[in-house]
Amino acid sequence: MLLRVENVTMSFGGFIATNNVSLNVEKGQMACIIGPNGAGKSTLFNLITGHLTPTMGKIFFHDQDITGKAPHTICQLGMGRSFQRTNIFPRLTVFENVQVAVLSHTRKTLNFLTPAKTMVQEATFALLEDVGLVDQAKSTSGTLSYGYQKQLELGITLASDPEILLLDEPTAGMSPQETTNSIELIARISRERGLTLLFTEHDMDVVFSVAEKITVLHQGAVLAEGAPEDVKNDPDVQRIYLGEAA
Amino acid sequence: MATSQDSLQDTAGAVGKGQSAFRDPVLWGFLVALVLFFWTPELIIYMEWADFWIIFLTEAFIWSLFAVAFNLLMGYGGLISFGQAAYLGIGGYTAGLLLKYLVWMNFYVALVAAPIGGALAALVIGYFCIRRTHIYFAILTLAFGHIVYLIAFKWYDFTGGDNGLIGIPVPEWIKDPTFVSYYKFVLVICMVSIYLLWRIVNSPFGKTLTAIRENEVRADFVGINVQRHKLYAFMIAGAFSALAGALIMINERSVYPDLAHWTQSTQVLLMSLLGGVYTFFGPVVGAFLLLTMDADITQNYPEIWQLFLGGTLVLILFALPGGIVGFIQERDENAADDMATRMAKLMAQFSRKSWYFFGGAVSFTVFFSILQTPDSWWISEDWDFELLSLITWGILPRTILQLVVGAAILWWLLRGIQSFQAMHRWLLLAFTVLSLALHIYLETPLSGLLLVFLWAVYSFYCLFEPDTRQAFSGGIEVVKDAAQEAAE
Repeated sequence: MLLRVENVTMSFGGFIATNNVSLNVEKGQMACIIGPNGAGKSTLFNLITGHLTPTMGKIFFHDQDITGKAPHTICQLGMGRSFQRTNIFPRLTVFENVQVAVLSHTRKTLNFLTPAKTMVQEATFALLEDVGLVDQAKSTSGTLSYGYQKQLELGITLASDPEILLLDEPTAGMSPQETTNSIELIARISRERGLTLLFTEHDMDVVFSVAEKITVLHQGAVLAEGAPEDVKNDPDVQRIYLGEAA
Repeated sequence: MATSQDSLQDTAGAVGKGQSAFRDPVLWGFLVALVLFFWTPELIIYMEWADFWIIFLTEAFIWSLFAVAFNLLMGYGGLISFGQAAYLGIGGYTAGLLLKYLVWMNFYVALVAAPIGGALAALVIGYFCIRRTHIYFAILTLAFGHIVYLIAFKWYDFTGGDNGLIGIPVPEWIKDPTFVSYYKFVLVICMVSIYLLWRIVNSPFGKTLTAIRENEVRADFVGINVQRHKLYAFMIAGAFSALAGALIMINERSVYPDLAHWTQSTQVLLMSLLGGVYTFFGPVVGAFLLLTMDADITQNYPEIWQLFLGGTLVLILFALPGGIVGFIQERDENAADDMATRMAKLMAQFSRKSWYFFGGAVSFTVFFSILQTPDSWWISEDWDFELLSLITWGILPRTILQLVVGAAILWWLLRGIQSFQAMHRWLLLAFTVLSLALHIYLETPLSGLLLVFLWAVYSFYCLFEPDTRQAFSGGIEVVKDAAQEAAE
C-alpha cells in the first residue's frame, strides 16, 4: 500500500472539515476523490501533503508515518502535488520554474557560488519536453495562458521525481479542449513513469474516463468507495449529486 | 529542442562546465570598474576637484554594499527588513569594541570579526523573525533593530551609550589626510563583496530564494526548506551589512548608536526602491543617487533634506515602482536580451521627442547653473548674478549668445514636450521650468533634474497610457509598437 490514510479527522475550531476519513491508494493506481463543494477534498489533500496537521488519525506513505511532517520533507519522500489554483513562480521564466524544482530535488540549493544558469539544463529540458513547453522556455511564466501554466505546474511537480501525484482539480477553469489535452498529458506521463495518481475532479467525464477507483466525500466523511461502475450506481451518491429529491 | 538548448547556452554566456571563470562578462565588468574607480582619486587630485569627492565616493561604495546586501533580502527574498541598520551597528560596534578594548587586537582581525558578528546576530534575530511573514516580519525586524539600538544607546559601561565610542585606534595609513588610501581599501573590499553577492544571487541558492519570494507554498512543495533558506539569506545580508558598518566605523574612527537607528534602515530601503528592488545593481545606483542628492541638498539646506526625501519616495512609488534600473529592464521582459538591447528598446519606446525633452531639461539646468555661478567664464568674475541686471548679462555679444542658447534650449524643451498629451504638456513644462529654476536658485540642480525626470516618466507612461499603466502595476510587459510611436 503506497498511501494509507487512517481515520483522519480535521477540525477548524468547531467545524469538522474531514471526519474520520480512511483511504488507501495502491501503487500504480489511478484514484479519484469526488464530492460536492465543501466536501473536504482540498482539506484532505492539505492533510496528506503536510500543509495541515490532522486533529486525529494517522497518514502513512510507504508504511512510514508522515503525520505532521513538514511539506518539504514529504515532498522529498516522493510525493508530488499540484494545487487547485495555479501555483507557479510567476516572475521567473518557464525554464527557471522547472530548474528550481530540479535543483531542489537534486539537493543543490545550498550551493552559494556556482552560477545556476547552466546547471541541470538537461534534466530541466527533458521535463519541459515531457510537458510540451520547450518552446516557451524563455517566457516569463506569469504571462502564459492558463493551460500552459497548468502544464508548467505539472512539470514543476514532476521535477521532484515523485512516485505519487496528488492533483487538486487539474482541469479546473479549462476549456473542454484544454481539459482533453491536459488529461491526455497526465495519463500519458503517469503511464510512462509508472506513477500513482490521486486526484480530485469535478468533471465527471474525466473522472470516469481515467479513474480506477473512486472515493466519494460528502460533508467531510466518506460516502462511498469503489470501482467507477459501483460508485455510479450507488443510490447515496446519486442522491447527493442529483439533489435530495431523486 | 536541441536548438533551444543551444541558444540558451549561448545567451547564458556565463561560466559553464570546463569554461574558465574569466569568461564571465560580469567579472570583467567588475574588474574594469575596479580599475577605473581605483585611479579616480588621482584624477580628482589632478583636476584639483574638492577632496570632498573622495570622501563622498568612499561613503557611496560603503552604502552601495549595504544596499546590495539589504536588497538580497528585499528584492530577492521578498523579506522586507526594517531593521537592517542593526547589523550596520553590530558591525561597527564589534570591530570598534575589539579595537578599543583589546590592545593587542589586530586591525584586520577586527575587520573580519565584524561580518562574523553580524552573521551570528542575524542567526539569533533571524531565527525569530523568519517565522513570520510580510508585515509581521517587518515589524519584528524593526523591533529587534530597535533593541540593538537601545543596547548601544543605554549601556554606558560597555558601548559608551550616546557618547559613542571615540578614538578607536586604526593603522596609520588610514589617517592619510587626502583619504586616498582608505578609499582604495574600501573600494576593493566593497567590489569583492558586491561581486560575491552577485555570485550568490545567481547561484542555485539565489534562484531558490527568488522562488521562495515568488511563491512560498509552492517552493515548500518542491522540497525546499523555506525557513532554512530564508535564515541563510538573513545571515548573509547581516554579515555584509555588518562589514559595511565596520567600514563606516573605521572611516570615522568612532561609532555612535545612530549607526543602528531605524532611520538608517529607511535610508537603505529608499536606495533600493530608487534604484530598483528587482535588479541587482539597482541599489548601487540608488545609493549613489541618494547620496548625491544628500550632498547636494544637505550642504545648503539641511532642514529640508527630509522633506525632499519624502517627496522623492512618493514620486518613485508612483512613477517608477520598479526603480530606475528596474524601469530599464521592465520595459523589456525578454530574458534573452542583454543590457544593450534593452537600453535600445527602451529608447525606441520612449520616443525621440521625450529624449529631446530630457536633453532640454539637462541643458536648461547646465545653462542656468553656469549663469548663476559667480566665477563662471560666462560672466565677469566680480559680478553677482542678477537676472534682470544689464551688468550681469554683460556686453552685447555675450548677451546675444546667451539669448540664443537660452532660446535653443527652450525650443528644444518645447519640441520635446509635444510627445506628451495636449492637456498635460503645458503643466509639465511649467512644472519643469519652475522646479528647475527653483533648484538652480537653491543650488541643488541634480535633485531638480531627478525630480523632473521622475515626473516626466510618470506623465509619459503612467498617467495617460492605460496599457502601460497596467503593465507597471501588474508587472506584465506590454510591448509598445515602436513604429507607431515614431509616427505620432
